[in-house]
Amino acid sequence: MTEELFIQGNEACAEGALRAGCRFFGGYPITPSTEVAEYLARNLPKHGGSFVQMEDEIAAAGSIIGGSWGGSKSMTATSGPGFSLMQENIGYAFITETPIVIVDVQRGSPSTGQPTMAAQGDMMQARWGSHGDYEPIALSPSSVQEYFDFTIRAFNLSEKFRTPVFIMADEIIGHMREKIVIPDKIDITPRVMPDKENFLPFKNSDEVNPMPSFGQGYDIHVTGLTHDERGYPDANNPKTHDILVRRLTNKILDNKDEIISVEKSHCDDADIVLVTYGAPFRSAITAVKDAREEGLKVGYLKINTPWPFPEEEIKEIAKTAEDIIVVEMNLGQMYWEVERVACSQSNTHLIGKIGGELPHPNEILSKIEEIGGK
Amino acid sequence: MSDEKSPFLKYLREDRLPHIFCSGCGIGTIMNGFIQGMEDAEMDFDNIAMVSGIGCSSRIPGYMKCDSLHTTHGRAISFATGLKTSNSDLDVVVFTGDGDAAAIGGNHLIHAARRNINLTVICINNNIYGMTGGQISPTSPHKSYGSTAPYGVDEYPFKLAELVTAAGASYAARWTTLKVDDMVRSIRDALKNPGFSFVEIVSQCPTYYGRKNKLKTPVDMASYFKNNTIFTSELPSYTEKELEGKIVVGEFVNKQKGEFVDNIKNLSKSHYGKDPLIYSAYSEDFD
Amino acid sequence: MIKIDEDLCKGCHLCVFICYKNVYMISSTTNKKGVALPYPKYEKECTSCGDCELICPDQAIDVGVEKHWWLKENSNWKFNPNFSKIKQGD
Repeated sequence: MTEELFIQGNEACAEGALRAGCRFFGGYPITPSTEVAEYLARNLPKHGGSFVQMEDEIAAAGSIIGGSWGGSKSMTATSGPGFSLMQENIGYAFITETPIVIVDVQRGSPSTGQPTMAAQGDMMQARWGSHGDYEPIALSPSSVQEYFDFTIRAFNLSEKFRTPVFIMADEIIGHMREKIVIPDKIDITPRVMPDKENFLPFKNSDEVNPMPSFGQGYDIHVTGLTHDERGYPDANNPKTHDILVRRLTNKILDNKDEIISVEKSHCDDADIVLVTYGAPFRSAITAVKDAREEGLKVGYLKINTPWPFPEEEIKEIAKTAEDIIVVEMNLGQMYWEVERVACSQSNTHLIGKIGGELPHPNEILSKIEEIGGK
Repeated sequence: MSDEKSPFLKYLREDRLPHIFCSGCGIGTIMNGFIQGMEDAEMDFDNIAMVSGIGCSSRIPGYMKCDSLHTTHGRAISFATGLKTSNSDLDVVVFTGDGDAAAIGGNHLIHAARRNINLTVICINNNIYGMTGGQISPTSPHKSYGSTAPYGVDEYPFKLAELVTAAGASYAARWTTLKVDDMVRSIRDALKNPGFSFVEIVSQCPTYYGRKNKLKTPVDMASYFKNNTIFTSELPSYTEKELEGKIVVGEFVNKQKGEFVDNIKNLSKSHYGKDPLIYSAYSEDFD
Repeated sequence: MIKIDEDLCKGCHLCVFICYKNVYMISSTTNKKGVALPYPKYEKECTSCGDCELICPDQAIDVGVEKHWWLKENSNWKFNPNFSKIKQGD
């Protein structure tokens, strides 16, 4: 039996986490993400999970990494300022291959900015926020249903690839109420217990290593230092570092096709393509409809997974479309990624709206008309 | 029965020895003290998970043959909180240093004590940042020298055991590396104590602290400890002036009170009917 | 029988300092690290208190006691008990 609920975005995210098997939440209150923590504080004890309100976001990120090594799927939810505090531990999760899910309900920034208004200003923070080379996975929902679905997918991806996964929501999606449909069967990816025979926790192989937990007798040493296949620090050896970091990035890059998801419509004959993700997609879809009614050849491409960036898909669009308009709620972050990929073939334009409101469909439409989709 | 090797070696990753600690560093002594205390407490070594941050002291788990998490600077206690909450069967031990626990991780330390979560925190206090080259730490004594205090420290040091006691820990003690038997007993009691336990061990760093403070050899530092140690029971007979530069050792608190993970378990029992799930990430079905 | 592992010793001489029976002396021989090793010159004075074993930061000393004197009352207590719930199953 499928279930139908009329709930808030953040609650849908929390419900999705519960269904995906999240049994540990460590968090710190921050607008506009707090409802995720509140919902899980209420419901985790009913499902055999545990909830801890930590003393700050640094501790929250630390606690979920600890929770994950303890054998529970773990997550936290935060907003821009908290996400900044978490960055060091996020890097730690990358190098130690710890599956965690971090929900970032973005708000107007920089700094304290606009706590109750939406923005998409953390997209590059999700990509480059921690120090060093790494390949993050980020999902960006644009409706409450997607927020629910993407949370489940985030857990599955993080377990499958043993990597942190970010859900880059925003205040609009977080606080919006919509109907969601919960399917009766949800596919979840369980962790796999490794073989104790010749066990190497960080083996240099093309496949993702299965993950043991603490207390299972593997005597595993997990360190944020550059480590060899046994997990022992080997920080002064250039070769060990090269092998380790390349393996960590390649495990995402080699599986791009499986991870990346985009949605496109009316692109085949389009002269102008709108590229969006997250909440602004809701305006873009109306703008495309209006433009088509006016006889303009406009399509859209919605990025579900901003990271890893869907380069191939953008290149494909750039082959046919004369102009690409990136609609986002910042002064140009993903825009530069699109420009990098498409610059030789299409003109790229930005509708960057800040202040907390969605770009109005008419704003997008007038930009389309201005560019010349006459 | 003796195989003519130190009895502590069987708990260590012998392929990684000798360890990186300088000659005469107290950390090796504390490793022995921990192992002895653990044997005395009749703990299952395989059930122990060690967590540490960054610094000399935090290298200990890397040499212990058990599950160990070597985390980011100062955050060890927050990782340990997650680990213990997510799997309450584990005996979680945190090794930390004075810079790690009192400077960058001070907030986590007092909040874990406030929560009274069942962790054993062993803080190796050498009064200096050893790994980065002898900078002063929050516990450096007033007017001692360090590479960032060439004219002497003008600040006043933290008293960690007292701080943690005030924050609500259920066990707190301080010893020096010279008081090996007391240290073992204290670690044993801390491991057995169901609540937040804090053992501060004042340790020698001959390489940096000693060199900059006219105590060049390990033996100089050890005799300094020997001559400047005062038991808590002797405190009333000393004036405040006499206590300057002395190391007060002893137990500061040892009392039972409600434990954090127990409370989570009780919550789970009343809402879920049983204890929280353990190793749930490996299962495919959730109710 | 006191044994000192030459490879592990780093020559801090804390054993010499802590021994209340003054069993240890510093020898003129050095190990491969070039540190002057301690040796138990007056071994027959040794009371097997185990303090040197405990204080040795480099796990280089084995005093070879079956039981430490301060644990004598506890008859069930074994030295080197092999704690292992998990590994016994293997």
